[in-house]
Amino acid sequence: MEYKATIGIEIHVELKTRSKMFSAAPNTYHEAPNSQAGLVDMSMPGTLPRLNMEAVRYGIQLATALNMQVDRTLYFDRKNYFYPDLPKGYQITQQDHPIGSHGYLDLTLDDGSNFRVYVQRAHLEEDTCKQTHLADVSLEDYNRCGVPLIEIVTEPCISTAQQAAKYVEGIREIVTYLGISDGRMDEGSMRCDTNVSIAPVGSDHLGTKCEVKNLNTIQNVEAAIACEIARQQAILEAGGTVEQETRRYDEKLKQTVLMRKKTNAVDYKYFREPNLPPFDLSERFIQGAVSSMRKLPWVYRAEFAKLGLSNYEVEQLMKDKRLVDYFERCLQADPKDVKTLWSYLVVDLQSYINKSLSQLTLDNLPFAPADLVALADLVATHAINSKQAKTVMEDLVSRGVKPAQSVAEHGFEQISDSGAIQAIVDEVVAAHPEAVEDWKHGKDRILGFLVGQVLKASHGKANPSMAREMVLAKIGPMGQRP
Amino acid sequence: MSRVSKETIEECARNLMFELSPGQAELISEEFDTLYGQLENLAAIPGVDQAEPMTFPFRRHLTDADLRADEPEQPLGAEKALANSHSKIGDQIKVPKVVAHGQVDHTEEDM
Repeated sequence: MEYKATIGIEIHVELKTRSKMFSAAPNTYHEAPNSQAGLVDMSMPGTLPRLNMEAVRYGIQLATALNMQVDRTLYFDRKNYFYPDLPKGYQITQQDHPIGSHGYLDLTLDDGSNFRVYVQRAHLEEDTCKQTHLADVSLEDYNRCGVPLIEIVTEPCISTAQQAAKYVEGIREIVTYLGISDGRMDEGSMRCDTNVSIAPVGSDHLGTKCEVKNLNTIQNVEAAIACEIARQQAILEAGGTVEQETRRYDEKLKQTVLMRKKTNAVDYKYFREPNLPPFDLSERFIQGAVSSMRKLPWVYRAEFAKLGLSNYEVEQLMKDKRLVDYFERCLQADPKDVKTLWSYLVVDLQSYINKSLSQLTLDNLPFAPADLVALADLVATHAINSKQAKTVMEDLVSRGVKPAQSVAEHGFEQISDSGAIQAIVDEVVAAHPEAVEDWKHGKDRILGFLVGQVLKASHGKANPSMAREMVLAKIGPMGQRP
Repeated sequence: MSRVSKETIEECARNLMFELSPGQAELISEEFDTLYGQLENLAAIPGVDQAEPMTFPFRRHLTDADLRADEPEQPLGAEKALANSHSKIGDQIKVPKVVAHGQVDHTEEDM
């Protein structure tokens, strides 16, 4: 029997604000345990939450990017539970009135096929503390307590593991390009849970769903869902019944493993948060948030494609927002050839950065983007060859030497004077009559030999492409007398 | 007979991981009877079902001008933040481990 999968995804995104959602304590990472909590985060008596304006702006921006309706009145609710990860005994969230609802995201798979994911809701809430579970006790670090979160929930409309992974990648790209989150799944600033069920193809009802939680890489999203679909299919094909469970993905076993069975539904006794009155958002505030949105990924893709970059080149750039920012700064210097610039930025400069073991980044380079453009222009105009460009690049990256100065220091100035090159070509052709004869008889390697002789005679300074053209003009097409 | 039985109280306590000493479940059960009685008194007031619930102290909504600017302030620091904790390891609060098979970890439980 053939089965179809139905997948829904919940993503928690930590917002990159300076302070927390409901307190002015700093929103930081990597600080010493319990050094970054404020009175509100620790739920000290008499303290009241105050909503962070920037978090609301970020919420509006994300909702807009996901084509959602933005709720103009913010309401918050209490999710009650007794657990040490939040000292209040409840989490402040938006159960009934998410800031964004009824959106969608259009995506493209690697094979070029398009699909749409419907996004049910995006709501603002606060993060819980970080817990470390030891053998017999748990340790609580409240630095993360109160960090602003947006939870994004899809409709159960995704049908393959590949689509799910592409969707998560799409959300990560949007939040990082908007600059509202680091989107670091490895550090927990973006966390992903999925609900997976399968049913026979043609069936009009859904199968029993299992939740697979805490997926911390995009690769694991795809692998975990694929495993879970296979597991459920094996159960049904063996005549069994899928039970509603919460599972996690075990990377070593390459399968999902049981965390707990969902026997008792947890009742969080939601009610409206009385300490935060409703906020009416003005049109001006909402438009201000929308108009200050940074460029979205699909806008960059369209712009780069318009510049003549291939899909591959665009995607290599898009992998890292810092690279995109740097490329844009380079474009301001009006490069002569964008593809050459792309190559020196994405391939050569990145290679230097990777070799520097994190000492070098795009933010601390000893030269300006315009200097990289100057180097790319020298290559694009054949003023230097690729071998010489490596030396110029080395000078630029290691010492910040400007390309023009480096070229002068190394004597790389090319001879581009056609008269001078022609004179050398004439000499070389005259000195190698046997080679010319071979060329006439169809030996195609002769062209490279003669150009090499011209470069050698010019001490490597003759413009190679000019030399090639002139040699060819001198000896004529292969197999014919000049 | 109590409207919320001692057994129900004990089950709720287990779910919430509250420890009850002998007799407390019975006491809470009696307190629920009192609470139910008070609610019945309120329900007997004519027209009470037409009253709007008063969630907030004021009818007025706030506006975006009332939102807090995203300016961080000095946090408490570990010493003050942990001052009320009787049980610590380093600068972290030590609590009984309550994540076990079959139990709910709310940090992982989303609605």
